[in-house]
Amino acid sequence: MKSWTQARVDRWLDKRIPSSHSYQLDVNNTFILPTRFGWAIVGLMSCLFILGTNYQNNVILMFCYFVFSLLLLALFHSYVSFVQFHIVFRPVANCFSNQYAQLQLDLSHKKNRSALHSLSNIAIFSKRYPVYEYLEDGSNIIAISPFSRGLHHLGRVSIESIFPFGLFRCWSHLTVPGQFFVFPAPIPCGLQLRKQNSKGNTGNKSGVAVTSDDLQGIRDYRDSDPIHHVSWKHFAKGQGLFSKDFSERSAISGWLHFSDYFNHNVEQALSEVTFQILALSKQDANFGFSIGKQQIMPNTGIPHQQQCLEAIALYRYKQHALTLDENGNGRINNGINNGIDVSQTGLS
Amino acid sequence: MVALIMVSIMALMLAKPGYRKMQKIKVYNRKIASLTILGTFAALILSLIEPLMGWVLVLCACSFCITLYKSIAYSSPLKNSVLNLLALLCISILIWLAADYGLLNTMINLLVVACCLKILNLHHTGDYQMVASIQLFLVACGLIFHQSLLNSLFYAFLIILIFCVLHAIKIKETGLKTYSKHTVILLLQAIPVAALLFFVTPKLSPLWQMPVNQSNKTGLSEKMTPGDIAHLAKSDELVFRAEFTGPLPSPQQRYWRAIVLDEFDGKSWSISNTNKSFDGPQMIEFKGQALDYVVIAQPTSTKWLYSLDIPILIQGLSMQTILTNQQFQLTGRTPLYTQGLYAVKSFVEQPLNIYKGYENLSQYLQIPSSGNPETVEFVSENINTSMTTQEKIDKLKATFSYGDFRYTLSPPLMQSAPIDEFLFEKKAGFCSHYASALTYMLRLANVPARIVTGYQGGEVQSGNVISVHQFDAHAWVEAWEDDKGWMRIDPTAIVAPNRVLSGLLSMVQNRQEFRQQSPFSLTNLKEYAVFNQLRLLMANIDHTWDQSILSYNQERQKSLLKKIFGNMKAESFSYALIGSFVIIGLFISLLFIPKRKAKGSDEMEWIDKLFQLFEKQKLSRIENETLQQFSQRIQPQLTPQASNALGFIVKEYYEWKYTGLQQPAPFKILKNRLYKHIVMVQSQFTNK
Repeated sequence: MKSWTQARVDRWLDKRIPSSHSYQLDVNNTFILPTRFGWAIVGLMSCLFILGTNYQNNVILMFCYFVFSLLLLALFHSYVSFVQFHIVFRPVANCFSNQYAQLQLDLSHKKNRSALHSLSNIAIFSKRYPVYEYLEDGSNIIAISPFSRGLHHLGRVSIESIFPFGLFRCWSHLTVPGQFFVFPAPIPCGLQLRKQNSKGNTGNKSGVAVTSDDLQGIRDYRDSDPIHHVSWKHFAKGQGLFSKDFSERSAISGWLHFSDYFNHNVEQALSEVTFQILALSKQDANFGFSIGKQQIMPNTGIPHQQQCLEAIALYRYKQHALTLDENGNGRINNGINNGIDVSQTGLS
Repeated sequence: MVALIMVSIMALMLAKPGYRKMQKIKVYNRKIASLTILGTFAALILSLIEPLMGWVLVLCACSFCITLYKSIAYSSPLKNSVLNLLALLCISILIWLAADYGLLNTMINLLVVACCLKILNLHHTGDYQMVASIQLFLVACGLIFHQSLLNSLFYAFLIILIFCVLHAIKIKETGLKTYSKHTVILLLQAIPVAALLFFVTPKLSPLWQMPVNQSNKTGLSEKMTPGDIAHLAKSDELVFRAEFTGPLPSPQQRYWRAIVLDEFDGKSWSISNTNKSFDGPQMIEFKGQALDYVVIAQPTSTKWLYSLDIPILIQGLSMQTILTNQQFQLTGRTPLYTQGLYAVKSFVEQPLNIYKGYENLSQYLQIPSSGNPETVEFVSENINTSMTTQEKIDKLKATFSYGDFRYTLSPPLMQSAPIDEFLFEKKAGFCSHYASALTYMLRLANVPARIVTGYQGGEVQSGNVISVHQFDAHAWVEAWEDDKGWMRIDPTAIVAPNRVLSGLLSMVQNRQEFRQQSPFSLTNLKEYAVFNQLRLLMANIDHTWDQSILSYNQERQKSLLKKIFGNMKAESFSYALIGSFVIIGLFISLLFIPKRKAKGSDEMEWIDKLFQLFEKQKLSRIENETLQQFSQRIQPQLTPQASNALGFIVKEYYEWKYTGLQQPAPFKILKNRLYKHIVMVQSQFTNK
């Protein structure tokens, strides 16, 4: 029952405050109600009215009306100071499961904001994560919480302000757009690399170091090229950045098989594989990666590393939650991602 | 309601701060906030010191010291369980004592205890907010007791401070000055709305009877032992003000009747239980001119009100009915717990004989069967039955004229037979001694007599207001003479005529006594002209406050609205209410509307105007085009003179804007310089 009402509320919220990268707080996405203290003051006001009337005490009545008009004013000031803010969410960076996911957002305000409202404090919090932080003008990084391995989205975060006197709470539930991967925390272990083989399945289990001196030629520099492959000779002549193209550019090559690390504990194995991928990438190895039914052909560089890590993140990972693609369109993704080539989903 | 408050406060005190989010919320400006809240706490306690119990005061002092230390040197929070136990203990003590102290006092004590305990643990936002709301409630309690202008200002200041704290804990760290300024601005914005609501919202009659403060307020009492009134003479508290519409009564007429005492037990006078109401004549005709006045009475501990003889009530109090009785007194049903205003007409020239023949005079001859033998002997020696009533009165009055009597504020103690001792030994006393002795002697001489206590005199302010203070308390005698009715005899006037003509403080000796006994009274400054004027000015302001705010009631509201809107019907009254709410709405929106509109600079306005000028000639600007690009684009379409003028304008403007070094010349100068060129361009247009 509760989840049903929750779902209704969520649906209503999605319609009312559609997901977006940037939000200007305004009448459409702002909610306002008295805080607990605000209700206490309303109670105080009614007590004052009774005291003032029963004792026929005009000063107390005056005090009562003063509190009443102050409540009205606080309502207005609370709203006006709140709608001055503009919030831009940056894409959430991928992270490891031993790290805090970090939400990045930029906070700005309208230029003609009055000095009275400039002291207003705005805080971010979430029902799902134990976060309560005040935002500064400019860019903010908020550590949300560690996530488990997989593909996540942050969902709704709330921002609130109780600016004048804490009598009224202005708040809004904003959806953080986009998804992010959480990779397993790397755990150090020994390297098990299979020799490169067209069949891929059999071969030498120990890593083979291949000497890489046979220079094939010179080609344009790519971002993924290691710095020691840069042809400094050409650079010194002012001809720009070129890379020396080796027939085998990496010192290490081979296939990394997840099954080699697998023994009972899947998560432990995934963590170890993650460590290996990071290590191999650092050494600029040319390696392929096989996990479950999915095979990633040997390659080097950051995009390759990313692809491998994403495959790990999605290994046997069931995603029930509503996911949002980059265009902000929601869709239910119930598929088991194991075996799907992640590079095709357009999320990498 | 009180019980409800008690229960809710108990719940608040015992509630675990389980509100996780609240705890996490950071408190800003902590040090200033806690010190300020401590200051308001101390001020509130001092202003409410009267109804507080001793142990509560000790608790306050302890918590004040601890909190002061804690707010200067930050320390860890106290355990909540300890505080809760302490709270339970205090609440049970208070409930135990509640019967003796009265509900109102218990409630105030409870609030103070709650504040004391809560202030010890000022850590989270919620703590500050709770302390602030308790303190706001205490302010309201303070206002039950003190409503004068100065006190109201004092409490208004405390309210400002409390809201400062509430503001400070939730805004960014800034200087004390910034946020106090902002708080004051916010609070000032609330005042017009509050004032409008105050004057327009219908005034209701009390919804139910409230617990009345059982304080030991000074004032006349219903039992007078000679010497009693002397303690009133030491107080310069205001009793009431009377505002006259016509002429003032002469000093000899300013006898403000309050209580009539008719039973004597040998030591003290009191009100007898005999029934004093009787059938009066159908029609009463009053002789002479009536004095019209309005009395604004301060809260008092007795139900007796004040008036000159013979009072006819014109308009009563808003909260209770006033009774008039055949002793020419005005009484309320209960003591006045708040300021009250009533209008009276007094026929001062009418002798008090209107009930002649109806009244049972025998009760005014009651005397104790024994005691004061010397006086009895003295009267029987001097008075014989053949004398007329007037002769008896004159004879007995003469006792004081030739007896070497002295009027003093500090009379000697007279214990066993007070009247004997006073008349024949000490021969020094206060008005009550004289009145008591004379009444007793008159009764011995078979003349019906009674004591009237009240106030005599008063200070005239701004021509038509008489302020009467406690030190004007007085007692005099009324004796029945068959022709004239009740005759006022003031034996004090025989001994100290100045007391009656110009007040107690007119006598140097009394002034010194008064000063010794109340050294801090402002009345002491009477001798210095400047201070006296200042004092009178303050009294005037205070009177205006009383008149306009404290005594604003249903009647006045009606007449005020009548003045503004003309004759009121129920319908138009509701229109007025709706209208006032519309005004409030407009006021609040006015605060916000101007800020929406961006105020462009002078320069931008000028450029916009320039573009508009061309737009009128269908030469509109392409988006984001600069002035230079624009002028180059439209040049072919202009006459040579106009294009020259425009070129000059552009050149000058760009020079002003970009070559001006550190401090460019004010834009105004450039504007004035370019004005005639713009006119030139314009004239070319019109020529076309």
